[in-house]
Amino acid sequence: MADAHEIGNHLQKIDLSMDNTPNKKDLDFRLPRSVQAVYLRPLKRQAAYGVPSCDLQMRSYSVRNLEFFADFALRAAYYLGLPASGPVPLPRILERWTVPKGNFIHKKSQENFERRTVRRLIQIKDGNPETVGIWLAFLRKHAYYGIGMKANVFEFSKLGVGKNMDLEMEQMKDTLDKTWSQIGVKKDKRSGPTADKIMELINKEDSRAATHGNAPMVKPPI
Amino acid sequence: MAVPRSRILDLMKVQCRIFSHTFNPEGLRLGNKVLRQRLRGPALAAYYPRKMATFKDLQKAYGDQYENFDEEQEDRLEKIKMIKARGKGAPKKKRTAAESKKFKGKKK
Amino acid sequence: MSMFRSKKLDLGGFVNIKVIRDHTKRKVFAENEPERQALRYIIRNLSLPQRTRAQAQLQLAQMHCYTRPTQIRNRCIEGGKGRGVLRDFKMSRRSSSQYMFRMHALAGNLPGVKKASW
Repeated sequence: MADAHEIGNHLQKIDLSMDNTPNKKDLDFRLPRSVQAVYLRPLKRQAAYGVPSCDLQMRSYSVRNLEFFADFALRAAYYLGLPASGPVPLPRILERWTVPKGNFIHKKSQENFERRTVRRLIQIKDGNPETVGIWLAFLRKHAYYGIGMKANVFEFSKLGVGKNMDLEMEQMKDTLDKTWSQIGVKKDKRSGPTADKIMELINKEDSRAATHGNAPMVKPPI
Repeated sequence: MAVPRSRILDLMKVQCRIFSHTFNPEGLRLGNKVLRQRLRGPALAAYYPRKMATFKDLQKAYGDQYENFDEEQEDRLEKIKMIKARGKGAPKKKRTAAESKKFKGKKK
Repeated sequence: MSMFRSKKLDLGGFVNIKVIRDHTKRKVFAENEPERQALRYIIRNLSLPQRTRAQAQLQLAQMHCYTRPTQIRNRCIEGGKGRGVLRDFKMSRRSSSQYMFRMHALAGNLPGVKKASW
């Protein structure tokens, strides 16, 4: 509950700053705790056992983007209930190249180029593998521009991992086949009750009006 | 207490069997260095950017099963059809040497 | 060697005969690498009979030169140049009056690469 207390204190500070605004009464309400937390440093959960389950390294050429995204990742980890530590600033990688300015001789006039890669490490401890997977998927879904991510995930499982994977693959087959059957329009399946129904719906008067009166759709010749 | 060498060798042999090491009491070069090296062929072969799959390739692979529509090709064919209709199309391919002569008759 | 070359061009970027040749060498090397490594292992293994090792040496020496890794040279993927190629970008610092790396770096096409001064 210490966290909530801090937020409360901070809120008072925010309110004080708002005293100067003319229409004070309109703004005099308490923001939700989650929104208040956005103004603060990301919250973190305590790891009970401290067993590392995921190392996420983020790399970028710009510090601002990286800092922002590391912050985002920490918040996501907090709300998923994952104890995260970091972001640890790893040593930056500095690469330099020197090339002659011209295309022929003139070795004395050269130009220097460099690339600085900044890195941050976030470590998840005591994470459930599934939750960690969700966290990583979430980060990938909301990936920020110019940031590369690399995750080492540690999992503990019983003996006989390979056998279990084979079994899982067998079970997955049904789902996979279902997905594959949805891809593309098969030539032998283009006329059927579903296709006819869809065609009828598209060619209805009101639906054509809604799409700015396109010409009626016809089946392509075979 | 001097232990005979043969006994130590036996011990080493057992040790190697248990921990699946190579038993090599003379310290010969066994060339295991070569076996430990990773294969770098795949990395080297991936140096140049490879050709991407074109629409034609896709058609060749899946055209008989799936519907497809190559918009650029259709546009091109339509354009050719229009040009031909105006009589401005490309001339027919000449098959024989006599046909391909640019100026017929006059030159002698 | 044309017998190794793929029947259809399988390169997507800049192409000239030197690039095609180098690409062919790379593919041939990747194909023959396990065999080469096996022969190398036999040659280096002192516990094998001398005769076997000598045979392996001969066999390795008689393999086609395209199967050798030393034949491979990094070439510029933008202009096919063989010299002054920066490994990080697979690009030559220049290519017959076009400075590939420098041009791209100054144009900002290479992420993160800036002019340096320290």
